[in-house]
Amino acid sequence: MVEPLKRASSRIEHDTFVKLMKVTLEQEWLEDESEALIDLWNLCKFSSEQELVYSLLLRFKYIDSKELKRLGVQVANYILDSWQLPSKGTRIIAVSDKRNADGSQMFIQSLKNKFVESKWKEYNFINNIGDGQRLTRKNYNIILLDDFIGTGETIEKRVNWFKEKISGKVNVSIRVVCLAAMEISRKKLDSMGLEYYSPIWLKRGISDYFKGSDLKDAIKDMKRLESEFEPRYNGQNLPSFGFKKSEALFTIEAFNVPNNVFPIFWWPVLKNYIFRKTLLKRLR
Amino acid sequence: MKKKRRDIIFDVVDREILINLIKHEKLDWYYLHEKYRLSPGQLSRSIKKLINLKFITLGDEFVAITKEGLISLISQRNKFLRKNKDEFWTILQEERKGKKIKLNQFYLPNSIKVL
Repeated sequence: MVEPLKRASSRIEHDTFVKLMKVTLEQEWLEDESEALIDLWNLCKFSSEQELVYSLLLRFKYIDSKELKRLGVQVANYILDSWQLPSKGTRIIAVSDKRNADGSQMFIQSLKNKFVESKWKEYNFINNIGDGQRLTRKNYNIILLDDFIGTGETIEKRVNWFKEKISGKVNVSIRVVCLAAMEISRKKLDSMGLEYYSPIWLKRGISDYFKGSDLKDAIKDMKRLESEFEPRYNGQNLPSFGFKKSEALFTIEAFNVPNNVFPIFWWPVLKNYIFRKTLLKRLR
Repeated sequence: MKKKRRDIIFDVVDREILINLIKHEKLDWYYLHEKYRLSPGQLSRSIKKLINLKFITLGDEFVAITKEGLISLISQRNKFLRKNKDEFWTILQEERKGKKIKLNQFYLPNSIKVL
């Protein structure tokens, strides 16, 4: 028997439907999120806000499982071919420092099978920085790994912590890899004086895209949209424009969305604690 | 050895798009939304699938059936159009329909036509 046709709860006005169709055709991940997309569209009070949401969505970088695999191969090739690191004496360490699962652990898990042909072993991959520093020996090549680098603050803290912990172990080199990083983190990464690699570099969604009066208007529109949200939820403050204003337009399929992403895409509560459907999900 | 059949599976959204395209050849996205209340996600998914199968092409705010899509659909219309494969006999093309008879009216087949 053929399944019954699922119908939307209401009809959408012509111009809105065409816009939402165009953005859904461009961004395949939106196909499963039509309701949340319509809710976000309806959150806009002015057409300029809808134009901003449309522009941000068209430029959103969504990594699906196929691309994750391709990027994993790219990172592995960089470690093996450009850095030419041997399996013996090299450890790739996820920067996770809590008992909770995080994106760095998901990334290291998806990365390790890209080293099969190079005869690396499971012990080359360590899924948290605490065990990583304990297992580090003198003359080791250490690669600290995270899924996403936003402002660069977190990775800087982890690198400094790691350096301090291994200070008694001589001749340990430290490098950093990630799946994607924001251009704004380059300064911080450069100042750490170590080698790093990211296959994707992202610009800020508003500040690095709009100019002059368009920039002013876009900032105003985003602030107005964010005013619809409850500013505190689950013990956390709303990170306006993303954590430390990083303005990220990035996520990885099935991963927690980074808090660097504009909260309009994931912040779950409207004023007075009314829950909303969100395009992306983040559990904290 | 008998060749294995590899039929394309069409879901209910694909089918509604195709049925309408047989009639109209070209359709606005919004027509499909208005008529069936399809969401942008449902419509986008089906459109991409049918484009990959070369059944339709995508225009600015519309979809159109391709020549090969139309030929394929017409030649296999029973498979495409029927909603339940156990009830395929309920679909009868116009040209095969005869004069309707009354209840309890005797019926004698025209032997010339039958043979």
